[in-house]
Parts: sequence; structure tokens; C-alpha cells
Amino acid sequence: MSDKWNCLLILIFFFTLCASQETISSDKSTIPLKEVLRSIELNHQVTFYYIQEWVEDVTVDSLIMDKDFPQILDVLFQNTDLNYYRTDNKRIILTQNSVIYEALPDGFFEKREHIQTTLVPSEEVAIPQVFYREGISTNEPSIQKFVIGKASAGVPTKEAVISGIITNNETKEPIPDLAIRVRGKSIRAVTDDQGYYELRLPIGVYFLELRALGIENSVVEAIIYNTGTLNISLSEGLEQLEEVVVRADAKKNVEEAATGTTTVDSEASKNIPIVLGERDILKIAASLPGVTTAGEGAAGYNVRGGKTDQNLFLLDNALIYNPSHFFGIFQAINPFTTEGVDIYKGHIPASYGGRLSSVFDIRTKSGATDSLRGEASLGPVTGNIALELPIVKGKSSFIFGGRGTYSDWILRSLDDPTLSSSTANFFDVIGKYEHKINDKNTLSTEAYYSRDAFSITVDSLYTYSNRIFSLNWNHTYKNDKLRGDLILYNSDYQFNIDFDGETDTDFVLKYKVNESQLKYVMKYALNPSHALNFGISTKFYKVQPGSIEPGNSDSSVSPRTIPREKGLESAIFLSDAFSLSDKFLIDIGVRYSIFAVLGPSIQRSYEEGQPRNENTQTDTQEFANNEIIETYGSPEYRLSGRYLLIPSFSLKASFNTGYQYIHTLSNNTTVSPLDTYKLSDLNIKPQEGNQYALGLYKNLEGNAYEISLEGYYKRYDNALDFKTGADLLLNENIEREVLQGEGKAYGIEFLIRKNIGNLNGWLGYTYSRSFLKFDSEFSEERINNGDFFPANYDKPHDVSLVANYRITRRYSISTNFVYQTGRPVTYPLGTFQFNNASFVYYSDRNKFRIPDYYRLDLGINIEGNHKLYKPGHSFWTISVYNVLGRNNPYSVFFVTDDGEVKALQSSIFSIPIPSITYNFKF
Amino acid sequence: MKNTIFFILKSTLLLTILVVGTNCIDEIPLVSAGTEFDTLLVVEATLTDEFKAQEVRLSFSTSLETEGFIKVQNAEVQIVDSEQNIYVFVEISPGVYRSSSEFSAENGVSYQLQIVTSDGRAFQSEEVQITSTSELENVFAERILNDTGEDGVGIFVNSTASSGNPEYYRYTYEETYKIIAPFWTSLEFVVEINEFGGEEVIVQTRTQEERFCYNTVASNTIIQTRTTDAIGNTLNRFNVRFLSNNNPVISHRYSILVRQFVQSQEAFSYYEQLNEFASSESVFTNVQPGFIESNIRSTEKLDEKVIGYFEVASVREQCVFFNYKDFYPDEPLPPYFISCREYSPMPDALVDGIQFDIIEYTRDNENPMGPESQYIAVAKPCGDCTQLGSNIVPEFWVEE
Repeated sequence: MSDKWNCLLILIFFFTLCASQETISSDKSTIPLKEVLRSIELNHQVTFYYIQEWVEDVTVDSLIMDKDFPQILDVLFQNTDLNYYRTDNKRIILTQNSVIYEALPDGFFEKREHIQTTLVPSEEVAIPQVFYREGISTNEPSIQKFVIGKASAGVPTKEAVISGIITNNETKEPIPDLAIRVRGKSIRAVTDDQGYYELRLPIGVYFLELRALGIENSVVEAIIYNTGTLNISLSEGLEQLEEVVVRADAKKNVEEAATGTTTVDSEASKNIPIVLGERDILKIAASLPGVTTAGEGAAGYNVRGGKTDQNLFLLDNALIYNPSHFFGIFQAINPFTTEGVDIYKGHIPASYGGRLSSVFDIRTKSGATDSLRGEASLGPVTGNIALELPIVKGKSSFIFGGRGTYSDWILRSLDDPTLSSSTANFFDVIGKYEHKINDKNTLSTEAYYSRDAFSITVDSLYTYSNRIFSLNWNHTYKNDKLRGDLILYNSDYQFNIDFDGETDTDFVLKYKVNESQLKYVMKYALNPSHALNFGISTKFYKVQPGSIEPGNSDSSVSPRTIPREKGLESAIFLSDAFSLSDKFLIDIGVRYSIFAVLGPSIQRSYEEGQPRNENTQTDTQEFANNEIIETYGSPEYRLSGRYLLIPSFSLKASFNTGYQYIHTLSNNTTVSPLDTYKLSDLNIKPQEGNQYALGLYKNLEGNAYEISLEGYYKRYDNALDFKTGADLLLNENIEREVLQGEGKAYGIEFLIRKNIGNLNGWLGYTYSRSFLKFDSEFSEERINNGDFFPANYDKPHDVSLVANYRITRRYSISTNFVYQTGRPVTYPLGTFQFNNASFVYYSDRNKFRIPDYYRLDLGINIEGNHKLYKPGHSFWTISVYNVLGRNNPYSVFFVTDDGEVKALQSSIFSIPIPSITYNFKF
Repeated sequence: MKNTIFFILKSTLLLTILVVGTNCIDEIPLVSAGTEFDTLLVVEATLTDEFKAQEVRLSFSTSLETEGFIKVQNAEVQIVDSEQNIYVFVEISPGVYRSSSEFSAENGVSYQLQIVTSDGRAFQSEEVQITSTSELENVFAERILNDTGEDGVGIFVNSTASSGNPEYYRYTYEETYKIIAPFWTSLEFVVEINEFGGEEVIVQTRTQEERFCYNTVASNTIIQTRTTDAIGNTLNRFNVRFLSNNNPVISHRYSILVRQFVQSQEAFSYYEQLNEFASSESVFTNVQPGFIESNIRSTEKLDEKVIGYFEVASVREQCVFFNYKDFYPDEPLPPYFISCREYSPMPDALVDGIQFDIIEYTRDNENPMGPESQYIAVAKPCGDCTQLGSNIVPEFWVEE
């Protein structure tokens, strides 16, 4: 059955439908395949290329011989493990299909196009005789030598077809996307997903150069007498190709259906200079168009004008609430254990939901299953170690990463008493166990924990932590076209404020949010033009909005707990990547999400059309445990399409809608780790949004350059803000303090990226605007007269340049330049006297801007020597952040000190920050 | 090589901490960001339940660059209550309006403030009433280490709410402290014109009290608290003021009159926001500022902004006295207000110093060196306390 499918698929794919009326006749009941082939060769002047042993002992039904040529080919190999490929009317290449077409991976049909076979015009080639002289090989050491085909004594074949599988010597897995170049000829081939390649070349002696990412570059010598198979197994490279910063699956940029997707590879981004030498894929993501932060010390990302609470951060499919350490200066994800991050900022696949603006899908590496590996670094602020431990060889492994600061030790050794008694430290640990049960089942389980502790004043200690447990089970069903992923996780985020002062107001304040999700996603390759993706998910939220306890027995603080909130968010989704034609691919998705607010709870109702406050409260309703208080549910649409104008140039468009049932409460202008999350309830409606995007994508010079131009327009509603001076912590009546309003954002993003070569990197420019609007008939619920005003993160012009230049194999330099329009601030208009002191009064929200931001960073990477035999590989990274020493203002604020008004400007890194990091890998 | 790297590493670490930890905030000149500027009416009006002539202060806001404030003169100010009583206010000094009759805010009666400026702009407040009666249990002083570890004297308040509801409190204080000039002598310099028309410095007995003085200072910070987080409905040990043991005001005898206002939640919130926007903040947490809505509005132009709040509050006050010796029996006094150093001025400088009123006699210079004069002097406030306070003993002042 599956073979028949394969043949059909191959037919469709290669467009080998020919029309010939000839009939082959035979009267035996079974005949050897060899004979049939020979007979066809004779009668139809075609040549089959195959290896003898493939056809030894293979017989076929003699009735087959009644079929016409070439239709006979379709049935001929039906019950064999062979496939055929007609290159032209004269040549038919047989391949052993069990190797090549056993499984139909995702994107199989697109990938297959990547096999490039260059044909040498045969009539111009003189028929060579192969005379190979032993000994006069090359200077290259330890070159492997292969002899292919049999030297024929008679008239030599003009041209040979060399095919085979390239595998990884260590893992025994096929190597995809490996480039094979014939030295001295313009003949090339690239392996497909299964490591398969084909080369046609005149017989002779050749040197084949083999290159692939992560594989040691190698050269083999091939003595070709005739058509044959050349399977090669290669070693992994000690070095990754460092210049590939943002992984580009060659033509992904142009060919995939989704708009606004980006991938940042952790390993490949190690050269980019980042403050204090900490590798940070999220920071790198922010240097690509569409992702910004409010400033250097702002945790949280704004994606295409969305609010910071609208991003779904996933660590191996499990949600992580706060992926940052130390106010966003460092990422909370270990760079050594991280493979990379896929960012969806435009079209969000239907399987994701619950956040309006983006998905950051962070992937952890799979540990090596063959031998122990590790990586360690020592930087100015942190130490980091990652280990990959094989458990069952070839089947399972454990990967562990741990990172911590030694900043406390430094702080304590300082003379300044305020500094030495303050604290600022963080650590994160991750462990992942992956077990390949069999070819069809893979199970992985993971645990993650991160914790930050810092003190802003001597008597208070702030701590926050993320904790995740997750389980992933990947199963391939019998017919290989259906795959299922079961994801189960629990994610917990909490923060505490521990106040231990001299007066008796000591307290401990606690906040906690916890969610558990069960999700089952299935991928079904229905047929060549439909790839379905569907599933269900359900998520249970528990929020403990806060409790305060006396810090010690003398404290006069009375314990108080804000009642817990509970909610259940479920969704069902289906999407279909549907190719209408070669050029036209659409991805249609729909998701239906439903959110139930669960008791126990006390909900207040307010007079209609009145501002919510103590006086307009009409009623309180009490709900029992798990009683449904309110449900919100709506369909969400995820549509995206791509049209290939020419093979390397495409036009894409998308339309997406979404709902979000959890909100961040913050009365800071930027995100701080102490922001709390609030579930939608009777009074606080879910956020909803939509986005239109349109883009042009072009690859140049064989995918060496990628250019994209993408525009978007986005609206969202019910975004939370708060009344001026709102009290958000430990407040039972949050609905009285918050406002729900609209957001609007639009922009155009331009990116040119060079992924390969000694000079590589990218240049991005974004023009974008983001606005918010809070209107009401009551002045207390209105901001800026109910008009649209620029959001805190509205930075119209954004230019970023990242460039790496490899000088030699050991030295490379990299640079990073950023320019952004200054962010909006609320500035005072005048001063006044009140209560014996001077104060300022403020303009409308965000009417002014702080000065523009720009920064240049430089870095040098020095690799250890490339000796073949040494225990490991080391490199130094020396970088200077903010080389120009630009004092970029982070905020401007005004204080009344001893009755006088003072204007103050804060900046985070106002001077050049040098750092040096040592990395070791084995 | 290794040492060098270690050095770089170490320097970087220190640098990092310095940068991340401290030097992030710079003061910048206070200048307007734009040209837009309106002169807004600023109202300070707290009607209390004390029977007295009540007071309202009116001024205009000014641009950021302007020094000083413009008082609102010749305005018509009155308070109308829900029982149709009208209390007219008259201007007693520029911008200060006092009710022509004494009255007190009563429970259950609402009050409205009405203002018409001399250019005819009319404003009125919402109708406001007393939320609940203030009960001030105790004001006391105690030697403590404050939250930043400084040694000093804390002024604390204990209070019980009269209603069962959480209450909002605002405090003001007036502190009065005794000053003793450390270099006081019974003599002082005088410049006389001698018979030749020349200037001559002589020493004579003082003509007024200049050794013991008293100074009174009103609070200029917003001090607030609420009972919601405290046990029951009492306020226990609320710290109203902290005086470091380096603060010269507590050197001898000190008194503080603490006034406790019970605020409505709205009034509390107004002051709280004002305070929050004007307080120093951490680099990483910027409070979103904005215009704070007043309960006073223009009667004609709805969007005309007004600053200030008309508050009707129950107030209680209590005074506490203490001596430095009560808390620091055997410890040296805090440093004086200014540093005092005796020196012998040149004769010319001596005359100028006396005429400009900046030096004070301490003793004779027994061995003048070179051109030195025959007197030893100190900066004026070190020998004459009237530079820092008043020599009149306040009426309420009690010595132990």
C-alpha cells in the first residue's frame, strides 16, 4: 500500500508522465526482473541504472509484460523495494526505495527540490578511459579513496550516475543539506533529508568536496568507472560554522507560508557582542525587526507594537513566565543547553494560543547519545556549565545546564557599606532526559528552575523564581503519516518581598501564579498538497494574587491574603497547509478557545455606565469551589498564504486573530519582575486582537542573501492599563483600579541578511508606531482625553546592524550597532507650591520623548588552536559594550527633595563596558 | 598573561558592580520639554473640625524655569455648606485667605469651596464631608536605628480608628528646637568711628539675647499611612519623623507637634500620587506619572485643569518634648548647624566682617602673628543664635 503511494507521489513530483503506446508481451507467469529490464532496454532504447544485487532473485508477475511502456514502470516495481527515476527518455535510474522513501517527513515535497543534479552536456564530453595511477594522489592527508562501478572492457560508458547516502559517523544518521562539489568542475549536488544525493559525471578520477553544517569538511577521491553507489560516512566537525548567525533553512524565507517568522540559533550567535559577555538569544532576537524592549533595563519584549504581556514564551513547549534575569539584562535560559528560538510575530500557527502578539518557541538541545560532551564558560558575572551524558548508547541521554552569578561575592568584598550589604544574584538550572524508545516513540522529560534575588534597599529582599516540569511524548503512528505530540507541563512563577526594617512593619509579601497544561498535537500528511495539524489543549491556572504576613513576632502587620483565582483555558485547533499549485501555498487555521473563570470567588458587580468604584458597587456574588463564574469563548482565525512570483521571490499575506485571558498588572512604565498576572473575570474581559501582514521575500545569489520587506497593521482591544496612581498589589478590587482600552500598531520592516561567507550578519530597519487609547465618559477612566497616544515602547525608527567578519580560522571580529528613536515619556509642564514644597505637574501621557538611543558594541573571538588531537576546544570572547560611551537615557523623572524640584535622568550602561569570557568545550 | 587577564577580569567585575549598582542617576537641568504652558490654579484648602478661622491658600503654577510662585490675589473665596451657611474668606496676606468668622467642620454636613479669581474665572469643588473623627492616642519619641541603619530618634504615633472601617491618615508636624550658640560670649563687636573719622573695632556687652534661641519649622513632606494593613483598626508605632543623631536640631531640647488628619480615600489617593510622582525611585521601576485629577473644577470650562484638593478632615494634634541627654546621656552633641572655627581676621577683614554681619567675637588674640588683628572671631551663627532662630521663647515651650 505504502509503496503504491510512494510511486504515485514520485510520479506527481517528478512529472514523469509520458505517453507511449507500445506494448510489451510475455507469456510466463513469473519472470526475473533482470530479464524484464533487459527486455525493456532492448525494445525501447532505454538504459536502466542499478546495482546488480538489487535485482538478483527478484521476480515479477509476467502479466506485467502486457502493459504499455512507460506505464509498465509504475507496476513493475510495485512489489519490489525499488523505485525508478526517468531522467530523460533514455535513462532510468533505479533506487532502493526502502532507504529513501521509508517515511514521509514534513515538508518532504519542498525539500526534495533541493536535490540539485547538474548534468554535463554529454555530447561535448569526450569519452574518457580511466587510467588511475596509484600513488600520485594529492597532498591532502588521509583522503578516503573509493572505486565506483566496473571498468568495462568494451566501449566505455560516457557518463556515470553516482548516488548514495551520506551518514554521520558518530550518530549513524543521514546528513541532510550536505553540499558535494566536484573539484575542478561545476558539478554539484546537495543531500536531501535522508542524506541521499545523486551526481552525474563523466567517468574519471575526481575529488569530491563535502561540506555541511556541523560536519568536518572533507574530501574524498572517487575513481569512477561506471554508474554506482557511493555511501560515505563523515565525522562531526569540531567547529560549527560560526558565521551562520541566524539559521536559514536555505529557502525557508521565501518558501514557507507564514509571515513574520524568525529563528535565532544559540550556538551560532555566540560571536555577537552582548553586555557582560553573556550570550543571549532573546537580546539578539530584539535586534531583528519587530522585536523591541522599552530600554536596557526593561524586562519584557514588545513585538510589533504589542504589550509585554502578549508574548508566549515557551521552553520546550512549556510556558515560562519570566525568561529574564536581573531586570532583563540577562536571559534566564542557559545558552549552552539551548538550541535556538523560533519567533512567530506575524502568523501564529493555530496550535499556539493564549497570547496576542507573538510566540517565542525556545528549544533545548537533545543530549549526545554517543559520548560525554560538555561546555563551560567563565565570564565577568556568571559561570556556566553544560553537560551531555549518554545514558543508553544511541538511545537516551541527559543534558544538564547550570549557571550562576558570583556577584554577591564581589559585592561583599567591596568597601562601600551600602554595596557590601546589598545583594544581587541569580542562577538557573535545567535538566532534560530524552529517550528514544523505538523508531516510533520518543519520550522526554525536563525540569527547569531559575531564581533571582536582589535588594534595592538594605532592608528589603526581593526574590522571584520560575519552575517548570514538563513531559513530551512523540509518537509516530503505523502508517507513518500521522504523528502525535503529547505535552504535559506545570509552570510556576512567584515572587516575594521580604521587608526587615527597624520599625515594626516587617512583612513578607508573596505572589504566585501556577499553570498546568495538557496538549495533544497531531500532524497528518494527508497527501502531497495537504498537511494537517490539529489537536486539543487544556490549561488550568491558579493565581495567588498576594498575601502579606508579619515578618517577625514583633511586627504590627496583620496577615492578609487576597483570595485565589482559578481558570480553565481550553482550545481545539485545526490547520491545513494546502498547496494549490507549485506557486501558491496557503495555511488555513482555526482555533476555538474557551476560558472558564472558576470559583471559589467573590465577584462584585457595578452600576452599568458608571465608573467602577466603592460607590457604584451594586452587588457581590459568592461562588463555590470550581463553580463556573463566567465563560468566554471565541473562534480565532489563522490564515497565511505564499505565492512564488519566481522561485526565489515570493509574496506572502496573513490575517490572524486571537484571544488572551491573562493580563499583566503593572504601574511601572517598564516591566519589572514584580508585575503580577491577573486572570480575566466577571469584570475584566479577555484581550482580543488581530493582525494583517503583507510581505515580499527575495533570496539572492543562491540563498546567500535574504531580503525581506514586511508590513503589518494590528489592532487589539481590552488591553489593561490602570488609573493614575492605582494600587495594584494586595488589592482585592483590582477592577476599580484598571482600565481596558484599545491598541493600534502598524509598521514596515526591512531586513537584509547574509548568512554565509567570511563577512556575514544583517541590517534591519523598522518604521513602526504603536498607540493606546482609553476612552470613557468619565474623566477618571480616560487617558489623554480619550485619544490614541503613543505607547511607552513606541520607537518609530529602529536600525540595527550585526556584522561578523572572520579574519582567519582563529580570529573573528563582530560588531553590533543600534539606533532607536527615544521612547515617549510624560514630562512636566510646570511647577507649583503645595504643602510647603514644590511639585511638578505632568503633561498628557507620553507627550514627549527622551533623546534617541544609539549604541555600538565590538567583540573579538579568539578560537583555540585547531589541533586534531586535544581534549577540547576553547575560545575567548572579548567584547566592549557601548564603545562610544553614549549615555543613553533610560528615563527622566522629577523628584521633590527637601521642598525643591529636581530633574533626574537615569541610564543603565552609560560608559563602555568591557568584558572577557572564557569558553571551553569538549 | 594570566595575571593580566585576572586583572582585567577583576577590574571588569568592579566596574560592573559600580555601573549596575550605583552610578546610574544624574541630575540634569530642569527645563521645559516644550513651549506649552498654562497657568493653573493651585488650591490648598483643608477645612478642619477645629473651631477657628479656617484658611485657604491660592497660587498659580509657573513654568519649570521660573523661580518663586505667583500668589492669587483679590479672589473671592467662600465655603458653602449643605445647610446653606456661607462662610466668606478675606485675603489677609497675598494668596492667603482666612474665614471672617470662626467655624468648624461638623459631622454629617457637606461643604463646597467656591472661588472666583480677579479675572472672573470661577471654580468650585465637589461637596465634601468629614469621613470620621480622628483619634490620636499617643505621640512618643524613641531612640532607634532606622531602616538604613542610622542611629537617631524616631517620632512615633499610636492611633485607634473611631469607626470600624479602615482609615486613611495624613500627618503634618511643626518642630521647634532650642539652639545654643556654642561660641556665645557676653560680648560682641561694634565698629565705631573714632575722632579722626577712622573705623575702630571695639567690644561691648550684648544688647539682646543671642545665646538661647528657638526655631520652628513646618513639615514639607507628605506623610501618610492607613490602618488597612495594621492589626485590627489601630495604628501602632507609625514613624512620622526620623531625626538622625547627626541632626543639630536635637542637640538640646526638641519639641514636635504632630497633627493627624483623617482623610477620605480620594483625598488620600490625591496626596499619595503627588508624593509618589515626586519621590526618588529605583532605576528599574519607573512609576507612570500623569496629571492628578483634583476635586475642584472650573464651572465654565470643563477641561480646565486645577491643582490641589479641597479636603474636610477631622484633625487631632499632640506635642512631645525631649532632650538630647534623654537618649544620649554620655554622648557628644551632634555637630552644630555650620562648622565653627576660630580665627584671627586681618584688621580690614575684621571691619568688613562686622559690617556685613558675618563674624562674631569670641576672645582677644593674645599673640597676634604678623598682620593679625587683636581679636579672635568665628562665623556669626556660632556665637549669635538669632541667625538661626528667634530669641523669643515660644508660648508653649516648657523646659523640663
